[in-house]
Amino acid sequence: MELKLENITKNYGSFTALDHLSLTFETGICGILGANGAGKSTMMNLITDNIKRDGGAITFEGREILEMGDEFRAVLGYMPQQQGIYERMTALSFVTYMGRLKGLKGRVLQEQAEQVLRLTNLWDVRHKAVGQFSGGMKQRALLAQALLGDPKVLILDEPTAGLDPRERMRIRDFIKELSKERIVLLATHIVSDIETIADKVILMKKGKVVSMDTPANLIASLPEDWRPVAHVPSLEDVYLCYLGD
Amino acid sequence: MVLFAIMTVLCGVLFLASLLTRIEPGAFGDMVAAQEAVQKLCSDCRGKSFEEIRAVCEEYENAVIDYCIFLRRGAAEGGKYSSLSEANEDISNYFPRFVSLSDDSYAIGRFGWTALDAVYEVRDLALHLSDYADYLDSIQEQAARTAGVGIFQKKGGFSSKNIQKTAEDFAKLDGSGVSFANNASLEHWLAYEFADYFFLAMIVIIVLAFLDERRNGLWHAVRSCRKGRASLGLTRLGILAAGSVLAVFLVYLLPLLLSCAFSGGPGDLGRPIQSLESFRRCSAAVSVGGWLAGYFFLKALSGIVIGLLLWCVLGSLANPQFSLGVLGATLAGEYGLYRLVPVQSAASVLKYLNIFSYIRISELYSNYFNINLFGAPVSVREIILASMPVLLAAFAFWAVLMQAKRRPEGNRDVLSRIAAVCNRFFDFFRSRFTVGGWELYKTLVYESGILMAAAVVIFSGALNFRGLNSPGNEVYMFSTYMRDLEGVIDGGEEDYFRRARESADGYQAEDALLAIDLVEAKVAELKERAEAGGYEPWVVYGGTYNLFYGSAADSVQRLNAAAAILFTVLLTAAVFAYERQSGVTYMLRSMKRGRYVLFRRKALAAVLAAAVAWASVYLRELYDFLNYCHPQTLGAPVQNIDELSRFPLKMSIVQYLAVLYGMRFVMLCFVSFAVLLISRLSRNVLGAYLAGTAVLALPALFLALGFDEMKYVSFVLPVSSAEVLWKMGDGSLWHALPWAAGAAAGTAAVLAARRTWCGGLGPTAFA
Repeated sequence: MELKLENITKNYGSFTALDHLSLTFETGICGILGANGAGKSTMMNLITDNIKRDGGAITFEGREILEMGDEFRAVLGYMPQQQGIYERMTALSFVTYMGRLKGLKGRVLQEQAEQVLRLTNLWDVRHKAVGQFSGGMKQRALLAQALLGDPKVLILDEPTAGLDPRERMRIRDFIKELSKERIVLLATHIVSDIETIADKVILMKKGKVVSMDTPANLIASLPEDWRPVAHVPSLEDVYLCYLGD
Repeated sequence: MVLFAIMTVLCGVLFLASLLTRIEPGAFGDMVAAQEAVQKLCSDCRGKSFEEIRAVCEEYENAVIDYCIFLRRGAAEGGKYSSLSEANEDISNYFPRFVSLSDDSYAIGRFGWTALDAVYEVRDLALHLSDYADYLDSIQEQAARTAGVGIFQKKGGFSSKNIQKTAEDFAKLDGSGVSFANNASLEHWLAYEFADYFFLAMIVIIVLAFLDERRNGLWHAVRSCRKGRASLGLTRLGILAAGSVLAVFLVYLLPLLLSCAFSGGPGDLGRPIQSLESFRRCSAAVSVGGWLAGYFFLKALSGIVIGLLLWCVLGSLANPQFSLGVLGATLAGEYGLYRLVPVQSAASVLKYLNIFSYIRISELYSNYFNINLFGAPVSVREIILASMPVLLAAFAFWAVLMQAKRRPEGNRDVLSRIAAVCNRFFDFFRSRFTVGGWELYKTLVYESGILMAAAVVIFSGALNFRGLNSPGNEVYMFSTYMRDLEGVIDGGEEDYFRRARESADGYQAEDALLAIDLVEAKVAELKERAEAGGYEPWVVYGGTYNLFYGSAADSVQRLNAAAAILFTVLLTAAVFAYERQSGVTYMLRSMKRGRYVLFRRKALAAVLAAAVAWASVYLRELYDFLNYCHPQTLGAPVQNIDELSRFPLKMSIVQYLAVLYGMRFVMLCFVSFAVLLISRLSRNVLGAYLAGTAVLALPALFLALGFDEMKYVSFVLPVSSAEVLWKMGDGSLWHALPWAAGAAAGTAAVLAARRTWCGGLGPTAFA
């Protein structure tokens, strides 16, 4: 499987959010790191065709995703960064409604809804209105809907934000498990998440890719004067080296 | 503040509408002119006895009737006047507006009713004042009389005590103290009950604002601030008091000032309040000015008490999600008690210590009630007035204490548990909904579509479907014979005319014979016309159709179309705005069926909303029409109706009606598509309601109220369709242009909405 971004450009007025970006994503987890405004969410919104690009092409398995339309969205799972959610729906209603929009129905829908709610630890509160959930629970509900329909491309924007450490580790392990057969794009500020599970890390700054490699290689390639003295170098040091001002 | 401003404007507009006899172009001018004339009438009455005042009123009444009779029948019929100039000169001494309307018989008829209504108000006032002293005497006499009657002699009985108390309460009033003045401004203002509901709504808005931090998840943060507890409670107490005073000013004082502006002021403020007919049963010895001052003070106080009560109830909820539901249940419960508990029942305390008793302060004075409190008659007014400061203090203490002590331990209350049980039940069904089912459910439940639909059905009950019709005697007889004869022209008419002429006798014989001649000529004309046109000749009385769908009903049709458009806006506005308000746009658009399929389902929801608006307005109209017309004529070719004699398509009346009602539905669908686009462009549901009302409903209402230029920018003509079809009776299809324009606008709107949702432009600005 291959998702390819070629020469992608996106401007908001005079501000260039993505500057001739070219990337290729393959099966596995690709962690995307960058400060606020680096272009992570813009890239994800372009892949989900939620905003219009100014130039370039995005292809999945060699086909332009705009031409694929619903066919591409059928293999897409997207968890947005904002906690926009139907506050009055219960968790079960929310997940089954989203399942319907993904084209699931009947027993398959019921089974998958139960599966993702159990996976995100929301099964016991499935009859509770989502509006009564804590931030972390809402985050899990959004993740649950993204997992519906067995997506081949999973785009997760800050999936573990607001989760407690135990939940975070559980979700992280699950995403790792999923990535064996999928392309997973994971944008987050929690560097340790990416360091633990990502097969590849992209460092973005001002709409451009600053560096891209496996976490281990990135840490190994850390310049000597950025290597910490007091502790073993980590991806956080790489982040500070490339993206810290 | 925006909501306060909107409600103030709405309150003022509805108040002005309540002053009109009918809502249609020219009615406002009628009202102003009639009130000016009544001011002159009242000044003519100054210093006269009540009997003389009644005579002056009769003089004004006769002037209107004589003038209208002269215009209808002319001098030859034995009217009072010999020429139009003489009639105009005479009527201009009473109601000068008639003269400017002299070439418009419909407008004269309408102003005639408005003028007579205004005169009758003064006449009734004079009647009230002249026998007020007798009324007071009768209360004392009844007390004396009943004291000697068996059933009331039971010592200590409530009935006996009540009659004695009534007599004592009214004994202090002086029957001769009442005086005459123009009471129109005060009476019209007092009759405007909607103000109470606007007042309550404003208080509710203030209280709901106090719970904002809970809904927004800031409760913990606010409580952690130095002044986030008791101090905030006291501040909010002050805000509630100031808000209540402001609400009184906006929904009571402003309409009073408006009323005074049209009706010439409140009159002498020193006269006893009983000088107003509405206060005939008032036992309080107070002047009009004193009553007004007390009224505004008590209103503000009652607003604070009601606000505090609601604050205490809603503030005690651990889960703010239930605020609106509990608020609705509280108000519904209170209203139920207010309406259903009998006056003299043991539970009547619940009727009077009630939110709705508190907002109807004027009723405490305009009505005299004693309730049975442990066998003793106690005045309801005294109970409410005495309880007000006690409740004020108790609720204020409770509210501030709750603000200071209530901890945000959400989700553990009884309501949450009940909701969970209900959700378990509903989830069984909801988890099986299709996308279309979900859209319908969201529209009806989450977007309050059920409440909107209920409001639409209730408000559409107030609509009128017929034009104004006040035919003269000969026209009445003509219509009677025509309606009697309705059916296929088959040669049997000659026999009918013969029998009709034989039975015409009495003082109306002349009119009857004239009418029969006219009907005979009409039948011949219809026969000839049908032969030339190649359709079957029928006798159909066109006046029936004119009354409902023709030029006589233009104003009514426009107003009803405006109402249908407003209803469509209210039912459709939330369809897309709710998604954007919830912040789920990007997520939905990333799903396989989240674009085109979802859009089609939302468009279907909009069509259903249009169907509800259509049914609420136009099925009622159809029902009214079918009850009025002779159904056997529905099969007649439409060309048999005079005004439709050159209608370009050959069809029966029933087919004509099918086209009319069908086109109305289609055009309302196009309106709902326009609302869909507005909803798509709006950031939240309230914004969608406001924008939809401003863009679609307001131009329609302005057109209905006579601003003719608005027909180019509103959907009224295509939605009404009656004008379009009726005008096509002259044979021209060009009159169908409003349909084409409406269809083009609706189609463009739905395509634009589809484009912004499904792709193309991308929703950067609409997410």
